[in-house]
Amino acid sequence: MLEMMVIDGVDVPDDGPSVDAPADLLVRVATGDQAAFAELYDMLSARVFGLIRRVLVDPSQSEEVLQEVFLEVWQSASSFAPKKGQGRSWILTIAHRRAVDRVRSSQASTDRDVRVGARDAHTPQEGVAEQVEMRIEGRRVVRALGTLPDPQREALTLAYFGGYSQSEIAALVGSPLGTIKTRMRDGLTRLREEMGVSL
Amino acid sequence: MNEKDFAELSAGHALHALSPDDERAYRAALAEHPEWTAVADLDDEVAATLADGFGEELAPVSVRAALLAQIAQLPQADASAPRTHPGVALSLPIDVPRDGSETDAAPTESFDPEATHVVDVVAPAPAEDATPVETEAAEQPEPELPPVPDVPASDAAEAEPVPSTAPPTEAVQTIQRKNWTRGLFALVASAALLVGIGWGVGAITEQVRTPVEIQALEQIESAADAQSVVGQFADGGEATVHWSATVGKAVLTSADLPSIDADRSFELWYVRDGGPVSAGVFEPGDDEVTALLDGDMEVGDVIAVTVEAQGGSTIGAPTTDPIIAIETDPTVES
Repeated sequence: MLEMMVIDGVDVPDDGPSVDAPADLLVRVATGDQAAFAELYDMLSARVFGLIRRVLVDPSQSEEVLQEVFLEVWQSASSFAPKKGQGRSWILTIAHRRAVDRVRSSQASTDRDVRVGARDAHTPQEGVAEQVEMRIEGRRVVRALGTLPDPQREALTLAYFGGYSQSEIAALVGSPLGTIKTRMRDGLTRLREEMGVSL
Repeated sequence: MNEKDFAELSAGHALHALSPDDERAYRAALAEHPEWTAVADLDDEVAATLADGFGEELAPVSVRAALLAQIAQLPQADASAPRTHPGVALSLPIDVPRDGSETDAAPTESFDPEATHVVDVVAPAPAEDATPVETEAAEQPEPELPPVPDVPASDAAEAEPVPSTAPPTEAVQTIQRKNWTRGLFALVASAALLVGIGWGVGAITEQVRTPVEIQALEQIESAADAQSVVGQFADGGEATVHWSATVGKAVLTSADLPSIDADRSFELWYVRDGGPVSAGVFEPGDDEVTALLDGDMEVGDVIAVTVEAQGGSTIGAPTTDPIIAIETDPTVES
């Protein structure tokens, strides 16, 4: 019997050719297909909103960014190229970029430390990475990150899940900026192998 | 820069952790070395796998409804496919795409003299690196009530009926009203405004309106605290709002209102924090139109005019984009 995985509510045969339902929908969205857009939204909005909420924290700003993300999806769907990556990844990349941009633009960095401090309440600076890490869900992601050396995992975690910039991370962990850049590069390369990503 | 340097930038970019300077360097490097795009694409793909680590959260239904209503009127990049539902770019409080994609919303329909009216709506001031979105002389489609989410997108060539989730109309209307208001302020910010104090009676010519409006205008102009502001239509025509706090009246005059169908009316709106409030309906005139605004104007109001069904909007809110928006107090923050 076929083992079926369910990803984003779509049954995906385990051993069959990989289907990219979001990619197919994006191609249709690019032609102005509003029904395809609604389907895409229903498929991915919970994943996108979860991401935005955990980066931004603020509920009403999160709703705004959710709307902005899907409006960008609608307006620039034609720039999605199926050969260059998965439809899901394309949308989640927009979501993460907008969430992080919103976090950075809505407050000065000192304010942001206060806000993040409220989220990571009463956490000494050294503990921020651990706090952020503890909130990561998903067995596959947790396991893959777990294979990384601590400094690389820390840099990736603070950047992706914490929304921190490289210089903020450098300040948080007390390492030079160049070191953080190297750790991110090496960590991402390692992660690619662990997650088995190829284009 | 060599490929190793770029690879370092690429990792930081994929995780959205680059400083603005590094982000610029990243884009410049990609522009100069398109062969490095493969590196960038792969890093983006890897970073995206981390998204599963966030977990899911159900989004409020209102967002879905608002989105479906908005996309029905928004143009897309590279709209080369035939679209029978010409879009008018709403002045929405959203950023245009920042990843360098062109949003060239060229007009897809030629001007149709049978159309109800021509609307030019200028998008809000673009984000830093974005190209501005501008719609030229796009037709205003037969106006559907934007807040109703289950209006079928029947004009789209290949669309199937949009599945509706029927959220409460009031909730959607509230969002629409807020979005409309915020978009309006963006419109005002991008329009040219002239402020004048006082207004000579001699400047008003060929009055053909009923005496009530003229009387009100004369009263306003005779008052010591008379004020007026000139606003512009997108095609350069002008309309003026005149008011006096002591007289307690406001009047709009214009010789440049667009022609509209016989079954349509103009409606005036006071646009303030809570949303647009109707200031009455007026019909087109021969030359100069003088319209007395119903109700009380408040400090900081933006005066907007929309084209509605005859007799005005029946839903207590505009059903179309403003054809003009005039800020009566530019010092008030919007």
